[in-house]
Amino acid sequence: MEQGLIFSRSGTRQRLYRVSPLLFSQYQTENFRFLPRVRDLPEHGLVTRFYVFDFGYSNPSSQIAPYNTAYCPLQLGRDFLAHTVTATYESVGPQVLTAPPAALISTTAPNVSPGFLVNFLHTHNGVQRQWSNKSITDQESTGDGMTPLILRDPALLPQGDTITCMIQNLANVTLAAQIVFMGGEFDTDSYPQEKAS
Amino acid sequence: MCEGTGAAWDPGREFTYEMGPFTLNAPAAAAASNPQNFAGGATNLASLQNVSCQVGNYPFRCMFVMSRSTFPFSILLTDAGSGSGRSFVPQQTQVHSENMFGTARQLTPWPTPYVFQKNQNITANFTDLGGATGVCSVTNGSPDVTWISGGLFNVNTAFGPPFPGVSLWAGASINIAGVNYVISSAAGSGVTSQTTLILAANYAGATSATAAFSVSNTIRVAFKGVELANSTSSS
Repeated sequence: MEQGLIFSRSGTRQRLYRVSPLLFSQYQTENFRFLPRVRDLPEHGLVTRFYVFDFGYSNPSSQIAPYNTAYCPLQLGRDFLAHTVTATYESVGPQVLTAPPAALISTTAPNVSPGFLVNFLHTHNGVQRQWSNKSITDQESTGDGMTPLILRDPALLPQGDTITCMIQNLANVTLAAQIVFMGGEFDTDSYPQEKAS
Repeated sequence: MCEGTGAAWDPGREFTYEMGPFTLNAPAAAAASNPQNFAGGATNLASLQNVSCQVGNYPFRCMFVMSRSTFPFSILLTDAGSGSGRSFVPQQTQVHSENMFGTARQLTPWPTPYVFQKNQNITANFTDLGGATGVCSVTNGSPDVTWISGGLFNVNTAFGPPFPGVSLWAGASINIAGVNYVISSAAGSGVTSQTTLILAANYAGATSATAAFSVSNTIRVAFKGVELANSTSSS
């Protein structure tokens, strides 16, 4: 049986929608449209984890050249349930700390929208499956910290699997981008959390 | 409702922990005035390690995270009380603030809450993604500033569709030789390249080719959730 608060939109039992107070600030009562089918947020029995696909923020050498495609593979250390996806990007000038030659001096770097195409490649037991039939734009595939994209069902990424984020820069400028999977890891034995059972 | 835990659910009491404010790329370094929350701290570097926020006498179930900063930053969050200084990112990669934090109007819910144990520290490493410090050349009575050395003027633009082409530094404060000025946000003005920028008003100090400048990033991070009773703290 599903848990969680239930608010009525019509006043009759036939028109009840289960909405989450945790997502009220983002989507008001319409947030029932964004909730995972089988779970409310948050849940317990998991340990908060972030898997970060970084293209140039944490490591500037990973910035994506104009129109280039870049890959960031991450191996799962433990079973992980991905709940939400967020992303950010910006066009960047070269980060030089000594006097740059005149030809390298950047003027203000323009931003473009959409900034990149993205796809996720999930490898399990040597078999690779992509999460969309073709790479899709950042605005169709990710949210941000204030309005994260909530997966309709949490995606299980088993221990030992590899999830690769593939990004294609759509701009004629160098791009820094970062995509984050927020979710939970099954590791409450190592870290004292509120256990599921 | 125990939701399968087998233990009485503790709804807790409303509580928020604030980490900061502290400043990166500041004109001068300053020790934190409140070390437990690292409030008032400042560094003239672009990064700061082991910023702390001490959890009080009750376990804290963190459910939302929010932040407020001058520019974007990246953060590696750790739970110093977990024994091994557990990082929330297995690869130790710093997370961009736009990816991790919301605001009070649109908070970022953690899909699964995390319990920080009592009397332990929430710690974090921060890196500024927007500011810079260095040396510039300025002329009395002129709004033009020329980069000489140190961090280049930031030509990056704000992310996302609403602000295409808007310089991150447009309208930002810049401290030159100890005095705060505003970088012009007028069209075609402001940061015109990595080595030239235009102030909103004329520089009023003495002409100098070795004036120190800094564009600072002041950061606040809030952890919102509930305090739990000690007796129901799980272990």
